[in-house]
Amino acid sequence: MRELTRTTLALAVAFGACGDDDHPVPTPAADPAGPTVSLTEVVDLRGEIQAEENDRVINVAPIFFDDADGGFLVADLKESQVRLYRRNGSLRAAVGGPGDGPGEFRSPAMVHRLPDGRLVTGDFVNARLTVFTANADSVLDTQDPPLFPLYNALPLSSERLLLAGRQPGSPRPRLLHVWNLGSERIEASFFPVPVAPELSATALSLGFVGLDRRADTLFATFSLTDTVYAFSLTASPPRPIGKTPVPIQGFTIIPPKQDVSRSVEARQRWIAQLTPIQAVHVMPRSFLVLFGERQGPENLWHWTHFSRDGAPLFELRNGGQILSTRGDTIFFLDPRAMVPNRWQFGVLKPR
Amino acid sequence: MAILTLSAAAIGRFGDGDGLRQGDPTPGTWRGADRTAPVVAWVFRGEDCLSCFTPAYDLRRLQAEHGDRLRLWTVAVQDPGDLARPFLKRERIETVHRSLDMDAYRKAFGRTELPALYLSLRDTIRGLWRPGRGAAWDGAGSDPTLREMVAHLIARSRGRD
Repeated sequence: MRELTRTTLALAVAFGACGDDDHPVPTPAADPAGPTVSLTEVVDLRGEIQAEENDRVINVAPIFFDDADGGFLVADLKESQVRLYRRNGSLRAAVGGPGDGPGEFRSPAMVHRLPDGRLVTGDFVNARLTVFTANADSVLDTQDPPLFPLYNALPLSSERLLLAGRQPGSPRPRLLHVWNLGSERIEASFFPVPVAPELSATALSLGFVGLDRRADTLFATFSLTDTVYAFSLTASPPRPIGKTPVPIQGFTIIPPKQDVSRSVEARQRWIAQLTPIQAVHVMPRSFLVLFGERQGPENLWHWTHFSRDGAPLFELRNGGQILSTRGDTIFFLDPRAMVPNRWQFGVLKPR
Repeated sequence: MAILTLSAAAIGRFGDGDGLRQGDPTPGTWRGADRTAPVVAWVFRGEDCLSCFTPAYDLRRLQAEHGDRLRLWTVAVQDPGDLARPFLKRERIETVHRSLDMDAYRKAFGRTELPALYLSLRDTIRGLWRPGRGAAWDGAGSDPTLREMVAHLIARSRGRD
């Protein structure tokens, strides 16, 4: 079971292939996409941030979240570490290390600052939430929601988190859950796995959920469907209020009941055919979606930019991994760099 | 990334025998010029780079903690797609790397199952770790024995200098 979990983790990070499912062969969908562009055609590059490292801090598989002061919160899956960076890349704090004790992590995949200033981290593998003081110098609490694994999280308030994760054993699994940090209970679950029931197990084993929020609207993506799902957070449970198609050239969907062999090579070929959606970023008047592609041993990151009603604006191949967006500003990894400690940023050019 | 050379003459010891064990002489050009530096060698199949269970975390930590007082070697066995080099780059592990086919591997390493981690000093195997047997495999399951042994051997070697 752990290996299955790791499949999702690897897909989320770098399209690895540790899984043991029988995978159906994907087929391309026929969605229109925006014109293919180069990075400098669509992004006005504004600068670069060199992330501070030392003999304890090495950026290997960083996942980024915004901090309230303009800095960055980083969860590093492979280093089992959470870091606080200032806006200029200098290091404020680094906590964690591999393990199961308080303040230790297996694969931290998210770190958020709650409105009251505390930090909360989420561990992908064991779904453990750890609440830290504002400077991450002390552990205040650990909680273990009944999810496995935990794909993503988003604070709704100082007391409530939106969690994206699997519900083991549930006959009607939902992907999104409102978790109350005070009562340590799931208050509501919603968003059924958005594939046909016969594909549910496969989709869950490879499914990563992207989340973003604007005001009272939650936006979610599921890695194997080409859709942005919108939910109203004013209702309980949050109510679906719309869908927007994601325009991607050659997006692949999974047809039912076609198995491939269990060999590593076959799984790699299967994964190479996928274009899993990794994240949705809600821009001022549009969506920016990050999706991936496996080419041999390399992972390529592509961007598709489209209006809120789904009209394609551009598709950027190999634009680098998007780390974060703030307004029109995009922070991303230099696609030419193998080492994720140099972060570029720029502003979307008007089109 | 430098290239490890395992000469045929130097790797002929394990024709049909058992695998390397603690106390055995190190194969081939593991016998480097600087005999005082411990060598940690990760020997793996190319497809192991696609696995989520690797000793990458411990190798990174060893590299960060000891720098050039330690030598890291990697040997990819049966890696026609050259999965290992980009994997090592992504994992930020600087290593002397070499690819071997299975025949050459058997000659050099005997029948030790893959993957395996070796620690050697002064041309002698001091430790052998395999996944699921208690050490140094995957950050989350990291066991301190490898890192403790390396630190001890480095401290002892420097004490003798």
